[in-house]
Amino acid sequence: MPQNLPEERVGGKRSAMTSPDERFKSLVAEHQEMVLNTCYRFVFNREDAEDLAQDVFIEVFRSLVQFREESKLSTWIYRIAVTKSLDHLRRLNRKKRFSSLKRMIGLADPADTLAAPAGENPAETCANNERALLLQNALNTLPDSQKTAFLLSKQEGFSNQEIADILNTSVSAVESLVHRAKKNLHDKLYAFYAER
Amino acid sequence: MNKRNETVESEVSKTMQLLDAMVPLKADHRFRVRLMQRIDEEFGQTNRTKNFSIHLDYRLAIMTLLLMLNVASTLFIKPDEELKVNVADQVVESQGDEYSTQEFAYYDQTASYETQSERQNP
Repeated sequence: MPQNLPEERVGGKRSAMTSPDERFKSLVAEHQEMVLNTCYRFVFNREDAEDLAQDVFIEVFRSLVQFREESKLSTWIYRIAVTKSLDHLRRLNRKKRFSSLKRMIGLADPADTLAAPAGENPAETCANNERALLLQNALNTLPDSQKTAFLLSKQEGFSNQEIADILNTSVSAVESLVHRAKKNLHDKLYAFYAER
Repeated sequence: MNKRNETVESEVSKTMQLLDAMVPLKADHRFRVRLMQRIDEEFGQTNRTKNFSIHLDYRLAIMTLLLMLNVASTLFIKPDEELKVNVADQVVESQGDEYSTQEFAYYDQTASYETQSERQNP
């Protein structure tokens, strides 16, 4: 267990628990839902979001020794969550590109095209229709900074100041990123529906 | 045309609103249990690997020390043996000298006295 997990870092209040094991569990309990929902905003899928949230806390456990307290512990944790989610999306995009290439040359794996089980489909979780997929695709075309600022702004519990801390930028830059993300999303969706 | 635009705008706004309509997830009790299991598996394994490498380090150090002692012994013990041979030669030589000195000379000389039988039967 990480030894440098002072009591003050957990919940911002002193705790009677002294074991690092207990303190880490308490840290997870405090931040798990925020981390889970942050990942969920990016991946639109509960199962993937849970796996990512687990990876986030494992990274926190591994790197807590290197945490220099230059930012709040929560900011540092949410930054890890954002990085892991973006990495996950990049991996998915690479996989998609590779799948379409395989389809083109006739080597497609039938498992790739199987529908997700009921209840795990992003569309079902979000609004149970094609809008969710369309939105997800449109979001994935945005630059990472715009996507992150926009998705975090949509999540309850993050102020613009906190988003700025996570992205290591200013509040005005966050406002600008959110504005540009909204406009780009609108334009992409508008183009799609106009062509129909 | 305006009606078409309105329809498109309405579709866009409905799609954008999906993000606001996302119901926040609740982490269930198994989340932490699974996490702690993974941590035990991953970091317990690392500790075991670390311990193994520490043992390996000790073994390697001992083996290196033994090898060095072995090499050192071949380098330094050989002249000692030569020295020992020289000393042995000197001892033998000195022993030889001692027996050839005047004090021990009678060992080499034949006896000059007669035995009792010789005396009786000359």
